[in-house]
Amino acid sequence: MTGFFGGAVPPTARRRGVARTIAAAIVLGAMLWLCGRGLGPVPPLGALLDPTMGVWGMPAAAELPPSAEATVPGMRAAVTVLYDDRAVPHIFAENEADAYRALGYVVARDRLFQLEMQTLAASGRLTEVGGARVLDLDRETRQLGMPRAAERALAALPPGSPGRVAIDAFADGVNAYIDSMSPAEVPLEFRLLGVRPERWEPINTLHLLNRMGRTLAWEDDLARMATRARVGAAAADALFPARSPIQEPIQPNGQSAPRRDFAPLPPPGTPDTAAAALVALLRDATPRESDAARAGDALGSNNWAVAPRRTAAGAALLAGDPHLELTLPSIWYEAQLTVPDVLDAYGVTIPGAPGIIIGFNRDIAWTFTNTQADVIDSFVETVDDSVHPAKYLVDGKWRPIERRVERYMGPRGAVVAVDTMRYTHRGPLRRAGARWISTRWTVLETATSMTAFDDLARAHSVEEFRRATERYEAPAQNMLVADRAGHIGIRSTGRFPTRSGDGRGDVIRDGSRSANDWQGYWPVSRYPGAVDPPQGFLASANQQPVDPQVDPGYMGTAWFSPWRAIRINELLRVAPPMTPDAMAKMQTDPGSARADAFVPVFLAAARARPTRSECAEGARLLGEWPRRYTRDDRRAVLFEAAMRELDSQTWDELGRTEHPADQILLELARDSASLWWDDRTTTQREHRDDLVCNALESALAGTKERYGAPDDVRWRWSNVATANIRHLLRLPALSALRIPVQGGPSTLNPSTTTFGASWRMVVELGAETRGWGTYPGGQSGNPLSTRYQDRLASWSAGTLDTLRFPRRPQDLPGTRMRSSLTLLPAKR
Amino acid sequence: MRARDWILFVVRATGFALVTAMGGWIAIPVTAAVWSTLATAERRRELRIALAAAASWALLLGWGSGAGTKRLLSLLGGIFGVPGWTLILLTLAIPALLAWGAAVVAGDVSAAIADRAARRAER
Repeated sequence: MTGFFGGAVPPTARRRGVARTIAAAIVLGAMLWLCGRGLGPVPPLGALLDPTMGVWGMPAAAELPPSAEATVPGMRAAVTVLYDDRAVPHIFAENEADAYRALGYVVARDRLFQLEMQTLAASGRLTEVGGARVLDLDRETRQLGMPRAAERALAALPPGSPGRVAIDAFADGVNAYIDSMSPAEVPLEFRLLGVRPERWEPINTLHLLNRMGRTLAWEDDLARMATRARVGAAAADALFPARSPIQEPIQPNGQSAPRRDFAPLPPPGTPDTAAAALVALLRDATPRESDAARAGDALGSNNWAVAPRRTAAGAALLAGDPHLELTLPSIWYEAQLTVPDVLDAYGVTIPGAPGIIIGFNRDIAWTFTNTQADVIDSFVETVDDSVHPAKYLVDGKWRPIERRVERYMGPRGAVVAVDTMRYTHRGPLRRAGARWISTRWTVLETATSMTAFDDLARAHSVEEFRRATERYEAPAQNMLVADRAGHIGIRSTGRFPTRSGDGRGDVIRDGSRSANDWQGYWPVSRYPGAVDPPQGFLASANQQPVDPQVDPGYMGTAWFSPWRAIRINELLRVAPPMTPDAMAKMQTDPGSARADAFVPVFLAAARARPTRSECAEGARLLGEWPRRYTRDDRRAVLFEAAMRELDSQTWDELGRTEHPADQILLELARDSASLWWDDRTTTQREHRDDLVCNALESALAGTKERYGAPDDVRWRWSNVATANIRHLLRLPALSALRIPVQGGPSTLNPSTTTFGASWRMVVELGAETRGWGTYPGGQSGNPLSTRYQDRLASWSAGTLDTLRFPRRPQDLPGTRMRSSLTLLPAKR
Repeated sequence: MRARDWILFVVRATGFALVTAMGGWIAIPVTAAVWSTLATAERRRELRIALAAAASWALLLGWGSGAGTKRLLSLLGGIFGVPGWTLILLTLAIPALLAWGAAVVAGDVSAAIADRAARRAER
């Protein structure tokens, strides 16, 4: 017998035996490690590639079975769920709580990883899957006070209250699915990360809503303050005004065209050192800009409604396309919720929210755009200890600082970091150099917004809808509604703080005086809005909601240039009787009010400088441009390059700080001799036409260098601007990249980045409510499913699908039904 | 190989498939170790056990593969930056290496223990 510990074996053979055993032990150890724990980015290979429980079983479970049955604890009666040919679940329940249980179940069935990932991000727990490398993201979330705010919002929902019942029921549904999931149904992403799905807690819903608040209602005062530091207060106030210089407000002001309230801009002034100190404070105290904050206009949204007298069918029409980050799976999930005599709504929900967020019922349709209001303020606090403060001073009295220890856990349960967070009565307190800044933000004080969405879905008229919105808090939205009786209405809804003094929120206030606290909120009666205006339509696109000549009160400064609003109004003012098809076409309209405004500026500059041949050539190319961002267009690329050059060359005094909006540039263009046109790097004094020509020439040279001669196929807009729809883990193989679209910056479809039209919907409120819609992606979050991105083609083409809205299960034709699911109460 | 070897191979492959279905991948090295200990006299038993383990996973892969497997290979290949077919090779290599390593270590250790026991008995 041979053996490696001894025996009658020659020494050489014995050594060979020992070496072989050691080699085998190393191979075995390495394989056990790789299979059990993975290595670096490589997930645990055993669980991943196991032929029975690993990924190989996934294809068989990628599609919904023709029929299925499951039990859901807590359910009181059986619920029927029918999936139509677009994989949309139509939920027929006998009571609301069961409807939300079913919604939780079907959302988890299609989007379980998204539910978990969004929760981790929203609650500052990404380190639990990503480790220390994502600690900064979690720190930002927790320093903003978002997990604490969700806990307080949950505590404000007493057991048995409608909101609490809804989120508890939704959690029941999600957990019932998790408990019943077969190994083949575990989403791919969990396997890649080597983690298991967590049970869903009711608080997760509130985390998600707070996350939406951060995306939509976060704006800081850094840009204006940094500008002030560089060029003085007068110039900064003019470059970042509270009043939009082009007025095309949401609340109609009786004008038949946009009004230009242009005034000469103050020249660059001397740097403001006090402001520079404040900028340093804010930079330290303010979380890093989110991706969303950098998206600019592509994060804006559109909505409009047309009264029956201006529509071909004599029924009100409503269109909406919220622009958000484009992800796979999509931020939205389509569903119908039906409870006899209580609820019958169709639309999109955010996975994790128990209810329809945007959609329609038998009598009304509704949609939102972001209001852009200033709902966040900073306060410099006086504290008892500059390093470890325990108290802060208000009106001469010390108040205790609330402390909260935040632990960041790693993927294997180890503590990655521990922070102590502090709070004043205003909100989270952060250290900024030697000072401490506290922040008050409406999103952190939201308790009823979630239930308000459910109330919206139950409204049956514009009036009822408007009443239902009164309790809505944050993020502030321009809520547009149309009803079957032919009424249309809009209102900028949410809490808008009232402040002492001039009422402005774009300053840092002294926290030691309670007089500087928010004084309350605008009364609902003051909210910008309108019902059935004489013009016969309503529209919003993130512009200033109300004309300051109507209400001069401070509401914010972060208004987008109103190019999209101008375009929508322009089209609606001259439109023939509108049809659903015409409404849908408008959503990808390639026209640009921005191009209409700026191309003449370039052409005029070229005429004023006739000796500059390159400028003349650029002007000739722009002059032949129809100013439409169609896929085949070959001039938009030059215009966009020229706009970038014009922006950077004009605002060179501002350096790398955020530059003013385009509408300020247009305001400046009226003043040919403004000092802003001067190029500080040259000795001579430039005027407007010099700089505009410089910009156009640079743009032309750069575009030629990059894309060849002007008629080269590479100048095609579809070659330059495409949508990139990234997977939640940013994995290219699971993403849809370079998707061609019609539209461009500041057009109605600015989906040429990773942000854009996340849901498009048109609804006709006729004898029967009819809806059309699509979003970029598909209902399933499973990359192996044919429903993962089956809607991309229609979204890219700008077409909408017919939305099926059956009253009863038997109303969904068999030819349109793809799958059924029966959810039953769990046996006791 | 003789008929007896083929039969043993099929039995082992089937056994590996069954234990994988019941206990997952971790059952492979355990089972391989047991078989290796039980068959110390068999020539090249580690290699045979390893091949049987790989064959069992191939069997399970073939059993479960369907229309979506190609898409799965393409996706996984894209994620890991390798051709999709290499994942099949990797999947077959995993049981083979686990089984070989466990079989060698278990066989050698059991042989050593038996050897020591025999020498102690001689003394």
